[in-house]
Amino acid sequence: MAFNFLIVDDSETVRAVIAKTLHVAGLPINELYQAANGKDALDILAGHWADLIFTDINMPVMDGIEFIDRLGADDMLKSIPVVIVSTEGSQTRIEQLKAKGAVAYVRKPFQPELIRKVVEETLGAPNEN
Amino acid sequence: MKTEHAEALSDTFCRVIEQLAFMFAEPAEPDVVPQPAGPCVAVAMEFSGVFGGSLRLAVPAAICAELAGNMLGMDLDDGEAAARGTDSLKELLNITCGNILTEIAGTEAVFTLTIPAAEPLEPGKWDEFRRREGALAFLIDDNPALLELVVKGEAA
Repeated sequence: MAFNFLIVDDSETVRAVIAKTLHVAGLPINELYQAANGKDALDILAGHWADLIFTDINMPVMDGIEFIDRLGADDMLKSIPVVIVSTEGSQTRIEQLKAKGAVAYVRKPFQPELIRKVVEETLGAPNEN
Repeated sequence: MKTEHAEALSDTFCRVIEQLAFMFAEPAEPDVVPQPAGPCVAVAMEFSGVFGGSLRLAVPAAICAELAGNMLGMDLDDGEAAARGTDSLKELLNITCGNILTEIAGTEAVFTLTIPAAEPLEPGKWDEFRRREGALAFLIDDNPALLELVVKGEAA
C-alpha cells in the first residue's frame, strides 16, 4: 500500500528536504502534495486525500495552529494524522498542539532518520503493508 | 545583549548551521570580518512572548546557494540551489531563532515569531552592522557572517 503525504511549510527548501527524505527512506509514496500555508493545504485537501500531514507552525496566511484547528473541526479531515515539523521549543505549545490532535512533533533542525521513524510509527513500516 | 545570551546564541547558531547544512561556523572577532567584496543579504525576524525582540543575520549573497545546496544535497552549480538560496537563509534564521529562545527562556515559555524577511544589504551597512554593540561575527567555511539578537523587556 502506498501513501499520500501532504507537506505544509512556507519554506520551499524545507518542503523539498522532507520530500527528499521520504523518497530516500524508501517509503511507499503514491502522491506527495505540498502547500506553503494552512489555507493552501485545506484547498488541496478539498480535492485530495492525505494519509499523513507534515506541518510547520510559523507560516503566513494561515499558521499551523489554525490549520490543525480547522482539520479538527472537519469530520473527515480530523482523522488524518498530523506531524508538527517546527522550530518550536515550547513544551507548553507542543502539548497544546498534541491536545488538538497532532500525533508527533519533530523539531528543526531534524535528522532525516527521524522523519522516517515518525512515518513508520504512525503509518506502519513499509514491510508491514 | 547579556554575555550569557551571546554565548548561547553563538553555540546555537554554530550547531544549527552544522546540523541543517553540514556547514561549519566559528566565532570570529568583528575586525576580521570586513565588508565582503560582493553583494550581501540580510534576513531579520521579530518575536514576542515573555519578552520580545528581534534576530538579524547578514551574509555574502554568494553563500546562500551553498547553504541551499547543502540542505538539499544538490551540486552548487544546480540552478535550483541558487533559486532557493534566500529561502534557505530565511529558514536558517527561523530555526536559529526558535532554538535560541528555548535556550534563553526555557521550554515552558511560549513565543510568537514573525515570518523572516530578506533584503539586500546596502554597501556600508555591513560595517554599520559589524560595529553594533551586540553584533556577533562568524566565519562560515571562511565566509563572514554577522548575527545580532536584540532582547527587550526581559527580567534582569
